[in-house]
Parts: sequence; C-alpha cells; structure tokens
Amino acid sequence: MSEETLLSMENINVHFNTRRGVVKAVRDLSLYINKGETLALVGESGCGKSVTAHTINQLIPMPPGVIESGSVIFQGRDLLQCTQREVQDLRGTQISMIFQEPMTSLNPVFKIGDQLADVFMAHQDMKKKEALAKAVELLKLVKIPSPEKRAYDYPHQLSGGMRQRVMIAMALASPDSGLMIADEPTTALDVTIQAQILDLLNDLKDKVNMSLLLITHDMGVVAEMADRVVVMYAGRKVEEGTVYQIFDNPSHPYTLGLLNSLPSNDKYKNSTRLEAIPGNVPDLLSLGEGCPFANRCNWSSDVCNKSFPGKTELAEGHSIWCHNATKVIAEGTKTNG
Amino acid sequence: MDKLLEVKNLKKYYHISSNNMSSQNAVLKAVDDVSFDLGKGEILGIVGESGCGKSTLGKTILRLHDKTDGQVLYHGDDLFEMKHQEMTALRKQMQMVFQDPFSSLNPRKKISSLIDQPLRIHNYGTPAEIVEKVESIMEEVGINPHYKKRFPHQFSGGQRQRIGIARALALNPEFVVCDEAVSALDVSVQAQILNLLLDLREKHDLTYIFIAHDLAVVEFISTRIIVMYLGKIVEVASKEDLKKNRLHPYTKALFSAFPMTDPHQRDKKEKIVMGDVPSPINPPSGCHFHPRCPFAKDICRQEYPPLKELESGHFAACWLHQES
Amino acid sequence: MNENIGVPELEESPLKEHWHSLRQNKTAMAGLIIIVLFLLVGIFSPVLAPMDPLEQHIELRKSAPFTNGYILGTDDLGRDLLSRLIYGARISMIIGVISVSISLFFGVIIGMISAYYGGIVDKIIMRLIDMMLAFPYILLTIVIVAVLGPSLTNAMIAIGISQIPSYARVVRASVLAEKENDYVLAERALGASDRELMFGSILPNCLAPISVQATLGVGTAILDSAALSFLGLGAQPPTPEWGLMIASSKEFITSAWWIVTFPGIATLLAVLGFNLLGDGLRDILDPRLRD
Repeated sequence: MSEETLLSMENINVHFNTRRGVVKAVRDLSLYINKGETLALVGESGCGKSVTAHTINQLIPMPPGVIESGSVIFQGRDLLQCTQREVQDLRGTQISMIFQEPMTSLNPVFKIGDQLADVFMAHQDMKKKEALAKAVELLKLVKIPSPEKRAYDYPHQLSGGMRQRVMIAMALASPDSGLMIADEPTTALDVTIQAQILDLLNDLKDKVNMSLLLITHDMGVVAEMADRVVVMYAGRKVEEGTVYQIFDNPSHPYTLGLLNSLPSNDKYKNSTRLEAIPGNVPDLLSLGEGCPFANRCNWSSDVCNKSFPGKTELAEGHSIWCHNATKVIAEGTKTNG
Repeated sequence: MDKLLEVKNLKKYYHISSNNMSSQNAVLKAVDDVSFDLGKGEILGIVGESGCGKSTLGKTILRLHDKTDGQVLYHGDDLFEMKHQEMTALRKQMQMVFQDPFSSLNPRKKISSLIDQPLRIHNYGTPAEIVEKVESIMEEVGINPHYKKRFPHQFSGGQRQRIGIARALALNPEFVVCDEAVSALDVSVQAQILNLLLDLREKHDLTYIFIAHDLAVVEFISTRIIVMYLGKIVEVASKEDLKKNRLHPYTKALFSAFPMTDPHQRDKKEKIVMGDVPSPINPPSGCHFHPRCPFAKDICRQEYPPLKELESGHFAACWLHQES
Repeated sequence: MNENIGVPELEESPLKEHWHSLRQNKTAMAGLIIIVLFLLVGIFSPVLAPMDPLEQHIELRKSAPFTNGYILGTDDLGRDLLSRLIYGARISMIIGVISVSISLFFGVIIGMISAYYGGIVDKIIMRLIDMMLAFPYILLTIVIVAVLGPSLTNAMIAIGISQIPSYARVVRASVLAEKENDYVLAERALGASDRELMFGSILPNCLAPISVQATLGVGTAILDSAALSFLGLGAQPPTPEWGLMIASSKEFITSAWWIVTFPGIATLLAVLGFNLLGDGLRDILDPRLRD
C-alpha cells in the first residue's frame, strides 16, 4: 500500500465471560485504515463489528470482556499498551465516535452549545466564550440551520437527524480528528434524513481530512460510502476488498448470500423469490474451530468444520477466507447475475 | 377483481394533552382522510417515514384502534358497525404480523400455547385436533415441532417472527396485515421470511397489506404501493407504474434517498429533499410537503391537493399535476 | 432447507435464572432462611412447643430464662414463654398471609381494571385510592377495626383493606407499562377477550413487582397486627400473639425483662426476614435496579 496507514489491528481476539460460557466475539481479526479512507465493517447482528470498534477506543467493559491478544497500532502507538489516561486523551482528540442513538449519548440536562463548548474547554484549554463561538462554528459546519439559536436548545428539542448532526459536530471538536468511528450512525433515522447525514459525513471527510470507520449492516449504506469493505461473520473476517471488488465480484459464500438476500438486487426484477441464506446466525457460545459459516454454506465440505481457512488473495487488496475458494469462485459468480 | 376491503375517508386522530392543566389539547392526525380499495389476492405495500401514520392505519383497518371518522368495509360490511361478537368471529379471517418479534410474543407463554391460543379462542376442535394443528403449522413455517415447549426468548429473531406468522395463520385467515414484519431482522433472515410470506400467500390464497419503511422490500413484494406522508396518501400506483413514473415530488425524494446497493451509482444520484420531517402534531399548511418541496407553488402553501387519478390506476395528490 | 440450524441450546427457564440470582444475593438468602425457619416453627408448633402455651403455673411465674426448666422463662402468669412464642409464630404467619391475600386480591383487580380500561374508569378509581391514602394508614386501620369490633380476625381484615391502595398502585403502574407491549395487541388481534388479556396475558408479566410488594407486605402486616394487638384492638387475651404479649407485660420491663424482650425480638426477626427477602427480590426482579 502506497498510502499512509492510520490504524492497524493485528490478530485481535476478544471474548466475554458469561454465565452460560465464553462468547468469542472477535477472533483473529486484522484490519487497517489508511489516512482519509472510509472503511466499512459490515455484517449481521452478533458478527463482532461493534466489539471491534470498541476495542479500538477501549470501551469494552472488562470484566466480562477480555482482550486476549493482538495489537491496535494508531499513529505508531499500540493502544492496548497505553494507560487509561492516555487512551482517554486520545478518545477526545483523535479518535471520536458517533452512535446509533444520539439521544443516549447527549446529556439531556445541558444545552447542546454548552456540551460542545465543554469538549473544547476540556481538551484545548479555551475560555468559555471562545469555546461557545467555536461550538456555533461547528454547528454551522454540520449544516444545522440557525446554529446561533440552536446552540441554546436542549437535546430533546431537536429531531433525530439534528441530534446526529450535533453528535458529529462533537466528534469534530478536536483539532485533528484522525479517526471517526461511526457505529450504525443512520440506522435509527428515516431514509431522507439518512441521505442527508451520509452526505454530510462524506463532505466533512474531505474538509477535515479524517478517516472513517463505518460500522453497518446495511449494504446500501456501504455501497454509498465505503472505499474499502471488511465483511465479518460470527467474529471472523471472511472477505476484504475495495467497495467495487466486493460488490462487483463478491467471492465468499457469505458475501454472495448477503448480496443475494437483498430484494433490491437487480436479479429480482422479475422474480418473486429471493435466494435466502438458509438457517440462522450461529450461537457464539457453541462455535467450534471450523468456519462458522459452514453449516449454512452450499459449498461446505468436511474440512470446513475442522479448521478456519487461511487467506486466499484474489486480486490486489481483495481476499477471502474460504477452504473451497476456487470452487466457490467458479460457481458463485455464475449464480450472482 | 373482487373488492376485499374498502377504506373510505378513514381518520384517526389522537388528542395530545401536553400537560394536565392546559385545556388546549393538540390533535395529532395520525391518519387523515385516507381512502383506498384492496382487491382479493393483492399485496398492497404502504411506505413512508416515521410519523406518516402507516402503522396506525394498519391497526385501525383491523379495528385494533378505534377510528375517529370514516368507514372500513370488509366484504361490504362496516367493521366499526359490528357488534363485539361479530367482530371476534371476523378476527379469524383478518390477522396481523407485528414488527418486533421480541415484544409481540408474550414472554411467559410457551410456543405451543402461543400458537394454540387463537385455536382455543375460536373453538377450533378437540384438544387432540388442536395439538395436531399446532404441529402442522409449526412445520409449515419452518420451526421443528420438537421445540414447542420452549419459551420465546429461547429463539432467534427470525424464528420468533416465524412463530408470529404461525399464530397469524393458525386460523386460515384470508387477509393479513404485515406491520414492518421484517424490519427488525438481519438481511439474510429477512429474505427467508419474505420467501415464507410469499409461499404462504400462494398456498393459502392470502391478501396482504405490507407496511414497511424499507423501500426495497416493499418494491419487491408488493403488487401495488401507497406512499404516505404525515397521515395522508400522496401517491398510489401499481409497482410497475411507480417504478416508471413517480409523480409526487415526495415519492421521488424518498426513492432517491434510498441507498442503492451499487457503488457505481453513487455519484449519479440526484439529491432532492432537504430538511426534517415536520411534526405531525402541527403539520404545514396546504400540502404538508411544501416546505421540503423544490417545486412548491403558491397554491401548495394554501390548499391541500386532492388525490386524483392522473393515469389509469395511478393516483397522486400534487398541485403540479392538476389545476385547483 | 433446514431451518433449525442454530437453534440456541436450551437456556435455563426464567424461574431457574431468578433462583440462581437469589442464591447469589446474601441478604435475600438470609431473609429467606429466617422466613423458612418461622414457617417451619409455625407449621409444627404443636410438635415443637415443650408445653401448652395457655397452661398457667402461678407459683412459677416470672421465672428467669434457664430456671425451673424453662428455656426462656415464664411470663407473669407462669406460662412458658418459649411455647407462647412458638404458637405466636403460627398466628403471625396466618395474619401475614391472610391480610396480604385480602390486599392482593382486591388490589390486583382494582389496579388491573384501572390501568387496562384507563380513561374515566381509571380517573375515578385513582381518586378513590387517593382519598384512602389521604388518611394516615394506621388511623384508617384503627377506624375499620373500631367499626368491625376488636378481634384478631377483624384486625386481619382491617390491615388487608387499608393496604389495598398500595397494591392497586403497584399493579396499575406495572400494567400500564406492560399493556403497551405488542403482544397484548397481537392477542387482541387473535380475538382474545378482555378478561383473558388482563389475567391470562398481562398479569403473569407483572408478577415481579407484585411479589416484591407482597413479600414486604407480609412483614408490614405482622408488625401492624402486633401494633393493633398492643393497642387492644387485635388479638384478645389469652391468645399468644406477640404484640399482645408485649402489651400485657410492658410494666415488667424493669423487673422481668425477658417477658417483653423475647416477643419483641421474635417480631423484629420475622419482619426483618420478610423485608430482607423483599428487598432482595426487588434487586433481582426489577431490571431498572439491575446493572
């Protein structure tokens, strides 16, 4: 890669100790994000995408969570070796996060202008007046109409879309926002609002030169936003590539199945049946050493239940983790019209 | 086509008291003067954003909510004129599948007693016949009858939705309202449930009203689509007509905002709509969409446009396409 | 298509899960042990009591503990204190269960109807409840006993009635929250009747707060009946009721401390047991207090 890497995670293993047993939420995960890039982490519920994000800014509750092994290198520093204090500083300044439900991450008893100003005062040693002016500036940047007035509103006086804008403003409050982690940022919003927020994120990314780690289950959002995509299933990375490689040439049986499950897929223009993936997402408690997708996979063979496959590189930057890669590629692309 | 259902000028208003002391109550017009027909065998999709009243409409059609005004004729008989007993008897024929498979199943009941509840209420048969029916319907929706003694929390979201469908279909209804029936499910499971609904429709000759905010799902499953905005119908057309020709600016905006699953299309999209969905408690004057509409004229601010048939079977409520 | 792939392993039933949490909660377990002990003592009092609780030995009156063969001594009429306490446990348990049953029965029905139907029905019922709550609780109980006439039975009824408002409110609050769930609407869509919805569907989901309230209520009822008996409005002599025992021996507190102290300790322990268990149950069953 010629571009500069902002963050890289190597061999991350995270598990949770529950009363029913050990939940292996993330297994042997490695990924990287380049400067200025949008990486989409996509998968269904329980695939470990949010846990991965929380590993980066160390928001995993411990216990019951345990980061068994691995490293998270951010701008040359291993975050897993840093002290709580150092990570906290980083969280406010260079790694920011926005969540699905903005209402729960805003303090309901403070005006939004004050909450934004607090971020400046905490991390940049500003006077209250100066900080408030900066806050209004940020509200303008995230395209909130009449920001001077809105700064004096409480969170409940804003609509869901506006609140998500405030959250984004808050994430941008740092001088050099290196990485923004957006965990299902538009899932709770209506489509017309979602389109506006996604637009805004794309705009801002260019303006402030940040990288975006986008966590989502929505392939539509991925197609609109991502530069590169990592597909996860039951805690494992199963496919990785550029957004064009993933959508034009999906190669892992799970990615194929996921795209085929979408009713918007062109092949269903005249059909009344979807090609669904049979079965359900497995229980993370009862996962063996094999490929977690094996029991839902059309191509699975004995070896799939025994060990997790190694990497098969299909093109530069495009890899899948599948025992039967050659067979799947030969047959899979045929069915994917 | 036989008319199964006729909805005439249906209104459902809620009185919102902001606090107990004030005498001025705000009125939320969740469903405001909605009329449409539903033919036998149709799958009528209803789409719209949150607060557009689609869910309230679905529940009012089944008389799960009281109406404020208007009529719902089922095979020509007004549901709201019926006596309690008649209505209970009719519930056998009209059923509902709910959005949230976590809250729509009573957590204290076993699967068997969840599914046999409608059978017991409507005196389906002897206990042995009921057990047999429960097992056959479980098989039909793809849940092993072996699991019938389990509680809902022991199943995944998709399986719970299958249980919800099994309950709705236990009495062989002819009409089912699916209210966001697949919205809470993972994509891969959503496809299974959509297939199941389509299979069951073919097998049992069902008519669906399919309420959803996911345009791709509605476009895939429906034969005809209603688009709602703030309690009113803004456009009605067959799926094919709506794909070809979207008349109402809101319909256009809604469909263009929906993310396409093709990264090559991402820069070609036209972005139309700005601003937030206004509060349904105090909607804008005239056409409710005018503050967000790029084509708004003077009349749009003053008068609500009537829903007019502009092409055969294609209705829209917009002043751009008609004279006042 | 095999749809049963990935059905999660059978989880523990909710009841087992709660039992497990209860075992972890030390105070609740302490409460439970005390209650079980009292229950056993109450059930087996004829077997456990060394003597007849009413049998008087005037010549041995006010024997100190561990004298004359009396473990806890005798009272002012020479009756065995231990036997009286053991029989008193039975009476206290009966009082607790019966008065709580009365409040539960009416409280559940009133609270359920109020919350389920809402509107004007709710308004009327809640205003009546407010009126009842406007009276000091113990005063209300005394008034009811005064009207019915002082006796243990009437004390139980009075305690039961005057506690109805708090049960009705607890039930109403949890039904209001519970009836918003889709499953209620789903069952209505299936044609379920109001009665089936109220008592077959909603009520079982409200059992958690109700059982907390009832557990705490037993303790309160025991305490209240002791108070009423102390005032002469409850149990009548020579019934071995703890409150009455304290009342009739209060003048000996300096000369024969055990006669008044042991019934006091017994009451305290019983009430403590129910309060500990009630608080523990609340921690376990009320998710809002759980992390």
